[in-house]
Amino acid sequence: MSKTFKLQVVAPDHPVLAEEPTLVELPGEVGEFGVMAGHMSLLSTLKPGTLRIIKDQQRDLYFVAGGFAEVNPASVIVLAEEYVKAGEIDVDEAKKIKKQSEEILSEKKEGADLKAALNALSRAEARLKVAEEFKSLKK
Amino acid sequence: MAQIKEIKTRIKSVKNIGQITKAMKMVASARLKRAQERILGARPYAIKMADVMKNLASKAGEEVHPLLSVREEGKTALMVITADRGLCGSFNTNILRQAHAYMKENPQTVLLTVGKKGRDFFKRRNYPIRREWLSVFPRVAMETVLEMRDEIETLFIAEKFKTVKVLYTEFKSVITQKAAMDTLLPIKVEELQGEGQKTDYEAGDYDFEPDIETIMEKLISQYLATQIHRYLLESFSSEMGAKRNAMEAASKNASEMMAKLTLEFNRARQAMITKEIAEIVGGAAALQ
Repeated sequence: MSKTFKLQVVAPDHPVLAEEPTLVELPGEVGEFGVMAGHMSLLSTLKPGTLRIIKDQQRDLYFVAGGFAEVNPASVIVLAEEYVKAGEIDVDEAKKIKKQSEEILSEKKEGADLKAALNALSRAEARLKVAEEFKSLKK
Repeated sequence: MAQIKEIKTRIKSVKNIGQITKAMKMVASARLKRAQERILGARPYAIKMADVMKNLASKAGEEVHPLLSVREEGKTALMVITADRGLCGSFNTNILRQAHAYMKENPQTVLLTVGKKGRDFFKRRNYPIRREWLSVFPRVAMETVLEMRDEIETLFIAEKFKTVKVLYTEFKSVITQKAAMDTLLPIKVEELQGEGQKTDYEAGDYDFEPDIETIMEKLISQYLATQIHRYLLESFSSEMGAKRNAMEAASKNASEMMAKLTLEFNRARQAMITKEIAEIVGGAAALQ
């Protein structure tokens, strides 16, 4: 059995998620990375994406909406803007947001907040990706 | 007869009011509870964030982030957080009294208002309002918070303001709320409240992805958003606490008034009966 470490996922508006996994995979801004116990100290920004928590052959999926991860040899703290358990993702809502923001981006209307639309789009896409992976896992 | 009917209608309307205030009290209690849960949920996040920031600031050394810069001169901005609606006792009055006093002393201050009450107050007195936000509560959406953050950052970075302050109502308990003023910017890293977790490894050992400047920048502006979020939630909790108390007092008054009116009603009815009997007796006596 490989060693476990402490993982805490905190976000405003959400209760703290505390786990003791053997491996966690994070959506780093420069690329996804995995962390196991004894990892060197690292501070990374996160982009909207999938958080995989692996313990005892079990794999939990979460959507995180960007933020930071502070990695220490014995602990990982994820400061997310938002996190949602894969099973609780509202797929229809995400699809709707995706469509809306795509429309805003393609029309390039004056006064429209393109940056906000881009953000919303990347979040919605990440959400859908997590939901999809969750579905394929369950099969 | 007319009097009895009058009293009856009054009893009915007082009863209605009592029911409404009671319902409003219950709604306020429920919202208060939810808002408090959200504050409690946001607290560990803010604490963890402060810890990371402190760690980072000690490493970043002299590389000062624009939001940390202390200026000797420049304008001041004040963000006043009030409610959208009344019926919450002296909640709005307290905040606005303090805000007004501050504005009188520092007329050059740039105003930002949250909530309809604050906007109306300053508009009536012809103060220029830089930016206003309405209907923020009860949802307190993150998008709104980010909007506020961007505005404040612009003031501070692009327009070189000296400081940005916030006037909000601190939630001490359900019965006590206090108007308080805090400084949003510049952020003073030494004063951050974290757990002060000391770790057993050297501070310089961190690896940064992508790099320390980017992380610091994101972290600090995220921290600012968290702070604004907290002030809003705190203010909303206070509002709901104040509303709960106001409605409780109103319900109590209504039931007291009802007791009084019922007594009056019974008295009037009794007087009428007595009068009728007296008339009958009088009539019977006249026949004999």
